[in-house]
Amino acid sequence: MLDDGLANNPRVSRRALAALHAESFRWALSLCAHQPAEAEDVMQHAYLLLMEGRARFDGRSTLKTWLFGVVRNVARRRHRRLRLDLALATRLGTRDADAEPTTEPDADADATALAVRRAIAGLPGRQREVLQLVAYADLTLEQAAEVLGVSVGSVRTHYHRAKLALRGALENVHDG
Amino acid sequence: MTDDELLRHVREHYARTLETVPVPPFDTVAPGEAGARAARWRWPAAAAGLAAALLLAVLVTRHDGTSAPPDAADAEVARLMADLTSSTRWQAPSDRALTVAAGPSYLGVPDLKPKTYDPDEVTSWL
Repeated sequence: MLDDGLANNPRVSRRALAALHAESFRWALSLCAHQPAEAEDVMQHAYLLLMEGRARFDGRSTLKTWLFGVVRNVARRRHRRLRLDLALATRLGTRDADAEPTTEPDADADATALAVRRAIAGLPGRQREVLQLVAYADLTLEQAAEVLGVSVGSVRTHYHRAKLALRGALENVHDG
Repeated sequence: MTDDELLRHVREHYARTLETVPVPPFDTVAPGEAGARAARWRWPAAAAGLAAALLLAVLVTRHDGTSAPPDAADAEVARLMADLTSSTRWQAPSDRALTVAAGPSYLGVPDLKPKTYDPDEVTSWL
C-alpha cells in the first residue's frame, strides 16, 4: 500500500503517474496518428479509468507496462468508434473517404532519416508497436508482450521482422 | 549495419517525431480524485434523468398524441387506471353472440369498438 495511492487504485501513486506522464503521452501520440488533441483525450480517459478503479493495477507487472497497456486499450476502443463515425460520415456524404490527414516530410530531413520514416510507416501495425516499445520506450520483449497482450514468441517474431525490413530499407539508401 | 546502429536510427526517428510535440501538463490531463468521483456519477445521473423524463412524457401524453399540462398528469393517471381496471368486460352471452365492450385506447392500446363475435368462433378459441 502506498502513502499517496489513489483511493480506488491503492497500488498506483499519483506521483508515479506524473513521472510516467510524458512517456505515456508520447505512446498515446503514436497510437493516435500523432494528433496531440486526440492523444490528450486518450490519456484523460485512461487516467479516469485508473482513478475510478475500473482499470486496477495489481502489481504483477511494472506500472509503466500496465499503464501503456491501458492507454493502448483506450486508444483502440476510441479508434474503433472513430472508424464507425468516419464510415457513417462517408456514407452520408459529409466527408470525402480519401481525405486522410497526411504528414509532409521535413524539408531538412536527410536521406537516412527519410528512409527510416518511410520504412517505419510501411511496417505492419504490430511490428511498428513492438519496435517503438522496445527501441524507444526501453521495454523488454516480455514487457512489450504484456502491453500488447500477446505471447513473447509473437513479439520476438514481430521485432525480428521489423528490424529486417528496416535494415533492408536503410541498406538500399546507403547502396543507392 | 549492426543492431545498435539500427536501433539508434529508430530512437532518433521517434525522438524527432514524438519529442517535438509539447506534452500537456499532467495536472491538466489527469482528473483529480474529486473530479473522478464526479465523473463516475455523471453517466448514471444522466441515465436516471433521461428515464425520469421519458416516464413523465409517457404519463402526460394522451392516446391522441396531445400532451396534457403537467399539473393534470396525476388526475389523468388516476382516470387511466380506473378505465383500465373497469372498462374491459365480457357481457353475458346471448343466443347468437358475445359482445366485448372495450374502453378507449390509452398507452398505445388500439381502440376496440364493441364487437359481435359468433359463439362458434368463441368456442373454437377455447
